[in-house]
Amino acid sequence: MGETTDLVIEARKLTKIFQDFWGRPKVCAVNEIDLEVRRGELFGLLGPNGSGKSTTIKMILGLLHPTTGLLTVLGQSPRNVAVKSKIGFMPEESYLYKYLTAAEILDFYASLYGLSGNRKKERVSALIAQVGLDAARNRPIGEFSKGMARRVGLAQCLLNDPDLILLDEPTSGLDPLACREVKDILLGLVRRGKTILICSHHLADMQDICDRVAILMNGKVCAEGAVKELLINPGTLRLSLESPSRESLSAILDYIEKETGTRPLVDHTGRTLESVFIETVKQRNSIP
Amino acid sequence: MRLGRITAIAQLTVREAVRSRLLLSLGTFLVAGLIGLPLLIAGDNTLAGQIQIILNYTLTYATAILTATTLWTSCGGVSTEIQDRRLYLVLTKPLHRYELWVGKWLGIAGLNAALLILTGFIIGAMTWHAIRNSTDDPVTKRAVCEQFLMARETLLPVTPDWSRLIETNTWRLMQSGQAPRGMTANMIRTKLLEELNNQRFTIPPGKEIRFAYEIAARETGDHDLILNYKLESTRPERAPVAARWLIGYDPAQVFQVNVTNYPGVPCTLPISSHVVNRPGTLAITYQRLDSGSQATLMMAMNNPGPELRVASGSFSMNLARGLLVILCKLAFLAALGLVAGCLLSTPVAVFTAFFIMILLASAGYVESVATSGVFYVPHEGPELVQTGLDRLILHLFKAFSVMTRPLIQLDPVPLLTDGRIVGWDLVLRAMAWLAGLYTAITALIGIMLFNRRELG
Amino acid sequence: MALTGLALSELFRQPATLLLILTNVVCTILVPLAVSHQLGQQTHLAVDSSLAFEFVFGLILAGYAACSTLHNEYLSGTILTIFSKPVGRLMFFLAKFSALAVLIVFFVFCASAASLLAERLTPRNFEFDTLGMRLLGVSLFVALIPAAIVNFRTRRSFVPYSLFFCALMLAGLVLILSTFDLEGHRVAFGSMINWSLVPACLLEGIALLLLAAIAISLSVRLAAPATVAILLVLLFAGLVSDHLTGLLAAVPQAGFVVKMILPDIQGFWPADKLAGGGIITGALIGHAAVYAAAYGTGVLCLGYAAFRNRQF
Repeated sequence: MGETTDLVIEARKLTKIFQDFWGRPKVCAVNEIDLEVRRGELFGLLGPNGSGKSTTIKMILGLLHPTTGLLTVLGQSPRNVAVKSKIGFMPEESYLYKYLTAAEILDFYASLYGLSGNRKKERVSALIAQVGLDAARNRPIGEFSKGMARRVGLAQCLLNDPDLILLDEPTSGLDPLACREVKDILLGLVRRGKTILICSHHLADMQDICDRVAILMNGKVCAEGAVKELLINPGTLRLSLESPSRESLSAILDYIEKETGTRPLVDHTGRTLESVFIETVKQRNSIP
Repeated sequence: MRLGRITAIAQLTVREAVRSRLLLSLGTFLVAGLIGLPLLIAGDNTLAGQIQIILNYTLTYATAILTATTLWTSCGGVSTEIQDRRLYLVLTKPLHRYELWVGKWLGIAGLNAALLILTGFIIGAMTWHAIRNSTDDPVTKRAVCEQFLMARETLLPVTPDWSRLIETNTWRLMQSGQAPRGMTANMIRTKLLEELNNQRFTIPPGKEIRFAYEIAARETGDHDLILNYKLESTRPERAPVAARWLIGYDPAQVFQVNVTNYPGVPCTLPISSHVVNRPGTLAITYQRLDSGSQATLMMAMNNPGPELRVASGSFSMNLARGLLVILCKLAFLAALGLVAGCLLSTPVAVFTAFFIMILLASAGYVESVATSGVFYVPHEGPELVQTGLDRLILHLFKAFSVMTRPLIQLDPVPLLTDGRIVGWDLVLRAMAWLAGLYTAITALIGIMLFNRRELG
Repeated sequence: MALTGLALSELFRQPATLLLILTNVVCTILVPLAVSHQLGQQTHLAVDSSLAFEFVFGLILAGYAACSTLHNEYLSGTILTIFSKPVGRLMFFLAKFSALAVLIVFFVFCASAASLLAERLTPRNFEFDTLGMRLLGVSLFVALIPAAIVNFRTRRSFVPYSLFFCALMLAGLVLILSTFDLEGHRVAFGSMINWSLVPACLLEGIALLLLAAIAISLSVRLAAPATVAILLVLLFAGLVSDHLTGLLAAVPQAGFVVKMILPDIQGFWPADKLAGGGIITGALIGHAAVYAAAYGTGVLCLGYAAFRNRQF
């Protein structure tokens, strides 16, 4: 996850104001934000509901037009159709054609990317296998569960092997195992040099995988930076050590209290609930 | 690659229609109506009446159903996808909006073409079934087939050149001072022409009237010709009139047939192909045999003479051309619907498209207002004064009539039900105007507005 | 009440409702222009046309609104949030029908006013009330202006206010044009209006309520296009039911079944009853209302039976 100087997404004083029927400003969804997403990084866009995350994504995709400000994607205007051949998008909800099967949907989107013939068939088959939908490839989307539909959404986003991948709540509605799989896929993509922009409310997932994040609030960027730097609390320190004897521990704590004036809190380091869940499920699956 | 994207969108449109059972429901509804309507409607129990019912009602029904569903599908096709956000995933792909639009349009056109082909087959099957099961004698069946199940061109009688006569009389009236006060030379010419035409079609009791038709080589053949005419009487009681038709190239050798006609009723007279068997000038004379009658007759008051219908092609090709014209209309409506659907929500888009369709269907009324310059002419009472608002609306009508003029007379249904030819010129006009120019203009406007539309 | 109120507010905010009602009004008030040259039959044709417009547009409105208020709740998933509350299915179903019925009553009010105005403005003895026509045409646009002002000032939905002001405008015009003759002279109140149209419109309103009951029952399973299509078929079949039973004369039982199933639309068609100066009596309306209530109740029971077991 090294830093690069290439800017994949650049926004300068980007503003989006929605107007009413009479042309009067109704809502200022995005208010003069400056944003930079560099090549090869995994960037997270956080914020409460209504903070402007989805609006920003839609402007990047060219679905909405900025009211003022500059926005470039891969060095071009987002309204340039050619640039979309290098972008993959996975929306929050899987808005798919419910009468088509998974294979047909992917085949259709692959046609839009200009894939054809055997190359298209191979790519579609590979992606269906990658997202674990082999058994359901010929079922209509209308019969899919939410999680299965999300997998189709992820597969269509990767059809064209895009340079820039935009994901809106990619782990929403997925179980922890599926979440882990998705995160592994995303990390794998970043290792291959792809750039990923994620909007999510799942802070633990974002903390897990993102290089840099920006926090939006009321259409403005309130905080931005590398995850590690943002998470540092310079006022405190954590020590990890092999569990000492009771007497040694007491002596250590007395010494620190004498030097700093406060007695430190002592706790055992633990695992995350996610890792416990995954371990448990895997153990169950391995039992014949 | 562009063609590939457009094809993918068109295929998706068709596939959705098939899988959502829209095509199945529509096809079932269409077939049920096409077969059921002629069975429900009581005719005059003649084969001719039955054939006309089949042709008229099935074609009108099919056109109405396909018009409504084309508008609904095209409006809903895009607006529903925008509403439930399926279009977001499509438009984030490297796809121009015009490619999406064209693909949708082609898909809908394809569906309409399939349904029109089905309509054609059903109409053909029903007419064949009606003829086969008719209890009429073979001669009557043949006559009905000749009249209605044939593509016939219409020949009109040669109009005499009265220009010299009119000029001479106009000059004489002006010179002698006998011209009515306030009438200009042009007005006199118009009036004289009107009177000459009236005289030409007037048949006093015991007199005759003669028409000449130029028969070309291709118009002679094995099929009978049909003479369509209508008499109007100056008497209100409309008693039947005994008369004789004399038909032939040479006065010495004419085919004669005695007829009894009722004024006000359209009549047909089959003319054997043996009579009209070579190119040349065919003379057709109508001779009244009722010299004792007090009624003066007028032949074909609103048409320039009796129509001579000559066979020019088969019914199946004629029907195919007619359906092609309908397809062109549906293609234009699909374009209208897609534009509305790209900009508005589904119900509002359907409404707007229907409203435009009704406006276009009122082309005849618009044309009459634009030509006459008035909306309403009071027969009695004070003369109406036009206000500024009236003048403004009149200008709008005139502008609108310029756009709708090509649409007048592009309806093949009356031609098909009457056994008249739907010519290739009509097809080409429909393709050029409806499926071509009008669709292109609608598409340009629609795509331009759709490109500016935000999807948030 | 809350469910009915919610459904009603949804229905009155839909642009399609405004479009259908306005289009019906516009088509009806344009009828006098179309029938001006009918050799003494103008008023008869104006009445027939107005009533026909009311029937067809009312049917389309009933079908569309029924699906919009019930069927679309399945599609959007909002029905799940309602049934997670202590709300019974029967109450829910009846609330939806009640809202639809109120909408139909509102529509009939507007359509009736438009019919009265159309009949009033029909040329008699070739004299055209141009002042009245111009007043009507301008009023329709003027009625939308207050709604636009409300939307501009308060950002509230344009549609319900438009409907309200249009209804107000139509009622006002009926009162004004019933008091002035073609020359603009004041006459006895109501003397310029053919009030016998009111029971005719009422009769049609009862028919539309019956069709609304059918529509809401169909919308349990079917989407708007299918519902409206079936309603149109039922309307057509109801109008030709005599002919159909005649065709089935050879099988009297089948004819009887057809007669029972098909709604007796002919009994609600008031134009025939008004022909030749006839009037529609209270007894006739009473009979029609009883028939509609009985038939409608039966149809609603069938609709509820389908809805009761529906799984989401």
